Amino acid sequence: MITLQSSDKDVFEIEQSILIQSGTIKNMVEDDFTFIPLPSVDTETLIKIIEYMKKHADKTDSKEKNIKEFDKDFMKKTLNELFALVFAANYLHISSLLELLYPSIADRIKDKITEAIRQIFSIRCDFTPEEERRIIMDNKWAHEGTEIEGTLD
Amino acid sequence: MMMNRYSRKNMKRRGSKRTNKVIKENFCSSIESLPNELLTDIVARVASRSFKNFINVKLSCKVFDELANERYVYQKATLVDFPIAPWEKQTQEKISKVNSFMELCRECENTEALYRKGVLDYFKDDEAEVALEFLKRAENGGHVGAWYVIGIIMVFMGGEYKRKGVTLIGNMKETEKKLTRACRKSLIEILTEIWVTNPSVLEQRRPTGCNINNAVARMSGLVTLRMKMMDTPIFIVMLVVVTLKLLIYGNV
Repeated sequence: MITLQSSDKDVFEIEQSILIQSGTIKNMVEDDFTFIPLPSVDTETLIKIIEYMKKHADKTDSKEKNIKEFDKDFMKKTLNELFALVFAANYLHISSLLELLYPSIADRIKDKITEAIRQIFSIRCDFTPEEERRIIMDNKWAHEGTEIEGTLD
Repeated sequence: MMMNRYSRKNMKRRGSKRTNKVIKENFCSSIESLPNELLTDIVARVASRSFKNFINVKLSCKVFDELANERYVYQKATLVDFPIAPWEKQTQEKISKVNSFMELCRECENTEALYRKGVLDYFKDDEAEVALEFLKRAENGGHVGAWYVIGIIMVFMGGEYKRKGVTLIGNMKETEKKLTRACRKSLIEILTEIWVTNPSVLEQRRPTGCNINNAVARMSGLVTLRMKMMDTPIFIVMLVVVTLKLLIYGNV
């Protein structure tokens, strides 16, 4: 059994066989660590990561359909939750989770106009109108016949 | 290629009048906590699905605009919005911009861009060596279609190469039948879009002008090529397989 400690100082005891899906944890286990502090991962995110690894630990054929259903539901989270998971999955080197997260995030902004993308990602437009116009003009060649919609009124 | 990482200190949380309401609801956005490497991965995923989406992300803020110039993003960008032979007449400016974009993609090891260049270099411009270089790079990056086309080109080169080409395609068919069929379909689609002027493929002299006879010659050459591609590898592979089966099993 390995003990993980979140940034909020909550501890979780999990079987080694489940945790080795994380490249980072696997390396530490091979170096004989049994207590692994994770200062970059908060409790809420760590719970989700553990849930993911538990489900994916048993990859027999019969479970494959179950796992796919689980993955689909697992991605039904807020964007901020997904970003926290991307950060944690990257830190913990869980590539299968990253491969699930990136398309889910890209899907959220699929076919959205720029203003919608800003709202979804909660970012502010820091271009001047001239700069924005320049980018649209620079990339006009890729869009002849269709509109690129910025925030120009 | 721009490789500078843009400082995200300039991403401010204060909302403008238009987006004030939304910003207040999500004033502590997690996207700002992600390192540039992960944001680049996200931008690359967007670019790999739709060029239009990619442009819209570039327009969203300076950080994304900067990250959109990363090599990895061009490596993953989809080319599906740029047909090889567009139906509509293109302005010189657009042709030039598309060519520059494709060149940049190739420099960044975009496998689809490398594949296309290889196919065009051989079937349009009769440059086997150059074509094979591009196709090898595409194949190294995991492009299966490139591997198939390398086999086809070797068949057309004749001699020692022909034998190797047949073996290559035969092996592909044995291990990945469906995928091989898809590779062939993809190549035929490209060739039907472009004129084929490679003499070793058409088995006639390169047309010197564009007139009706040449156009007909090219079309019949194209049909011949299509039949040749569809029949030669399959026929030879079948011959090889039947021969092998006879040797192994000793039955007719």
